[in-house]
Amino acid sequence: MSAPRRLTIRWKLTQATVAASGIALALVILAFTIYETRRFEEVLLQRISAEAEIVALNAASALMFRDPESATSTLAGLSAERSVRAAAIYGADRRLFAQYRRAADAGAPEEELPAALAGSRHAFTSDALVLSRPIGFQGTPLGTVVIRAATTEQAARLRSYTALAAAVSLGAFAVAVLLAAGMHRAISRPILSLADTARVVSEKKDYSARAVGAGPGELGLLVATFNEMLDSLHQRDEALQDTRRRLEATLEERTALYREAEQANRVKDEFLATLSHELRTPMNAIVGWTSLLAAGNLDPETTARAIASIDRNAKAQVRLIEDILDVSRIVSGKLRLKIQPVDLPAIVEAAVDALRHAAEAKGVRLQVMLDQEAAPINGDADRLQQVCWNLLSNAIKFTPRGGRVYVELSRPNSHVELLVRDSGQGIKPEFLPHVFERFRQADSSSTRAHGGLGLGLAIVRHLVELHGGTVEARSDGEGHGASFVVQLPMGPVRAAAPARTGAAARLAGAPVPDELTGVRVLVVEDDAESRELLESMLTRLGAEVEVAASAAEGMAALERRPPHVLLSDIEMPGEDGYSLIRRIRALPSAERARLPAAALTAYARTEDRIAALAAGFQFHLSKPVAASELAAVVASLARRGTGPPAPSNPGSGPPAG
Amino acid sequence: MSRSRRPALRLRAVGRLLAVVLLAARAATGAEAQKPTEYEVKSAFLFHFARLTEWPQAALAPGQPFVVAVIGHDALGGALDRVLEGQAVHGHPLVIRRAAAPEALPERPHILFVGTDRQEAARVLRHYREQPVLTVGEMEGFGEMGGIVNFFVTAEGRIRFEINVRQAEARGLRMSSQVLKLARIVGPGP
Repeated sequence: MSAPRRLTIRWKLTQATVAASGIALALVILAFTIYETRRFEEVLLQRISAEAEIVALNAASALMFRDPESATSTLAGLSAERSVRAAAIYGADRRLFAQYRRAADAGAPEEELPAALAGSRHAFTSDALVLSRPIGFQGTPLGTVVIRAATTEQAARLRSYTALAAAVSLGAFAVAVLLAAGMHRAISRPILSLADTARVVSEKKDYSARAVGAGPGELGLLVATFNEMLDSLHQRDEALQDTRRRLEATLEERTALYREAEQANRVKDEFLATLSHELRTPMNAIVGWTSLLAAGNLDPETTARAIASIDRNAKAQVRLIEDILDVSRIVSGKLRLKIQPVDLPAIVEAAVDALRHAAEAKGVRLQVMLDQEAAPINGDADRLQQVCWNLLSNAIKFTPRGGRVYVELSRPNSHVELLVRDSGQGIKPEFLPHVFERFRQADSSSTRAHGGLGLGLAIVRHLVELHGGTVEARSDGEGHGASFVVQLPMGPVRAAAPARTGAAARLAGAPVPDELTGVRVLVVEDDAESRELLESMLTRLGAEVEVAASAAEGMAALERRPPHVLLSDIEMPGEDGYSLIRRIRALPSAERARLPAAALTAYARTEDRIAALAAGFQFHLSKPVAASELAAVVASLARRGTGPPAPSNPGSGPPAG
Repeated sequence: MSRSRRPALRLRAVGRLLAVVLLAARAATGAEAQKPTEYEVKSAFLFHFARLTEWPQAALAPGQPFVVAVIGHDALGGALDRVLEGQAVHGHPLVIRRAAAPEALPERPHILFVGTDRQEAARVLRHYREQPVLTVGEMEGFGEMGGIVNFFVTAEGRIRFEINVRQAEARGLRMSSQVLKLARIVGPGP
């Protein structure tokens, strides 16, 4: 590729040099020829003119005295002038008087003087100068001398000039070729370097490449300018890359923000669903038992159970509401502490006492180790107890039967440390950083095994931080339990404060019709309270009730003896209500597959309703459910069960009639 | 051969006849200016001699006319008048005198044409001996007799002249080399 290009440049340079020198030479030769011709003519004219003057002078007397011989001998003197070919003298009568011919072939002169030669004239023909001069004496015209001089000498001289010029041109050509070779080195090398650099830049996008300098002069300037151009290109390229990187960074940032916002939105949605569920669940027990109590006719044992259940659920609800209010206060920054010296061991003991019953009920062993000397701190007694209670109840909640929860209060250095360790399911490492975030629960699906809003730990962290302390969660992973460590700074004053106690509950009542006599109802509900309540309500309505605590138990009961109507919770640990109904609808037995069923759930949104119907339920009942509504729905389903199920009428309201 | 010669001969004859006719026609239509007479030529020569010769200052004083005199038989006649009329020599108006003898001339001439016989010529020459007079004759031995310029006619019929240079110099006349180169130089040394 570069060899022909080099050749081309070399050839072009040669051409240019040869053309330039050729034209210059041609012009010089032309000018020289013209000048030489002129000069020769001038000199010849001068010479011949002088000769003619002499002849005219010398021939005057010959004419005066009519002596042609003398005139002839005068003319013969012209033989000394080599260019003179012939000459003649004409008398005043214009007749030929005397003549001279250098050679015989010179041609005879005219007998009479041509009019064109009268007087003092001269003319150049192609090969000769013809010149005439008058002959006179003291103003008397005597005749004319005419000389014909050859210019062939000049032609010969021009021929030799041309030959010389040709020789010089050849020499110039040789010099031009040599010069072109030299110029090629001086010119084409920097240009080729430029071309190479340009190729490197365009192929490799390497803007740091530079052409080799060509010294001063135009080429040097060209190379320098090219390099400057590359500099600016390089800078622009870097600026572009920089901008691109910045844009990418911004985009990533935005994407991250968007994902975060999306996540937050999703978390809030889940929280709202959970909130609804958590509020409805205790409400279900309260409303149900209240309506039973209001109807009267309860034996004293059942009445006591009802009141205890209402009390528990109302308290749970109050706690929930307080948690929500706390979170609201935390978010709006309105949470204030009533700082005073507190007796931390007493507070921890109170919280343990409050939860001891629940732990025992679940079969969880509580171990407590309190350093009574770790006491002297300032704080809000109620809030610190809330921290303890939240951590303890959390630990009990996530610890299975037979597990244990260890509580320790110590004073390692200049602070007080509260440790709550459980042998529960533990925390996944990826969720560990999020345990203290609001609305976050490790398991937010409809199959979650544990209730609660997921606010407890967020509140704990906030309260601890308000006290100037820190809280930390540790877990070796799932199945290895979890530890929560609260560290609080010690205060100078030591004072005792009483533990906080819960709230009271009120009862509400509802009428109970008696119309489900003979109807066999299977209730699948994981929550014992709800299960008990439904059983009581349906029994009171005259129904024959069978209960199951999980989808698997329900399925087994169904297989044993198919009921008339199925009432199933949706959110259950392990297998949920949707899955249960889908399995039932897929049973080979038509009788069982067409079992009339109603979903009974605390999820009350439209989409939950639609999901329930789509899964195969005929009805969707939201908790809390009134006894009258329950009676109507079960009755309607029982009637339907006598015929084929009617999936074409999936209305949620009670059917007419 | 003989057949081709005859028309050529005839043509040549016609040519000669034509030439004769033409010459006659030329003479008839006044070709005198083209072919001057002997005395017209000699008159012109006299004028040229006058112009190509320098006279001593004393012989040709300013304001004085240049005198051309004819002694004896006036062979030149009217030709001289025609050639010299109104001319001037060296700034001097030219006058012509005619006389039978030198004594009859009112002044000494500058050029004297001797048209006498040989004896009379010798007398005339003696009369102007040693004087700045350019004597011109047309007789054999004129130069040897003491004359300066003598006309003669060549075999080709051309009018030429001989010059006795010693005589001319002796009389203080300086003749141009232009004249001398055309002349036959004669005469005894002085």
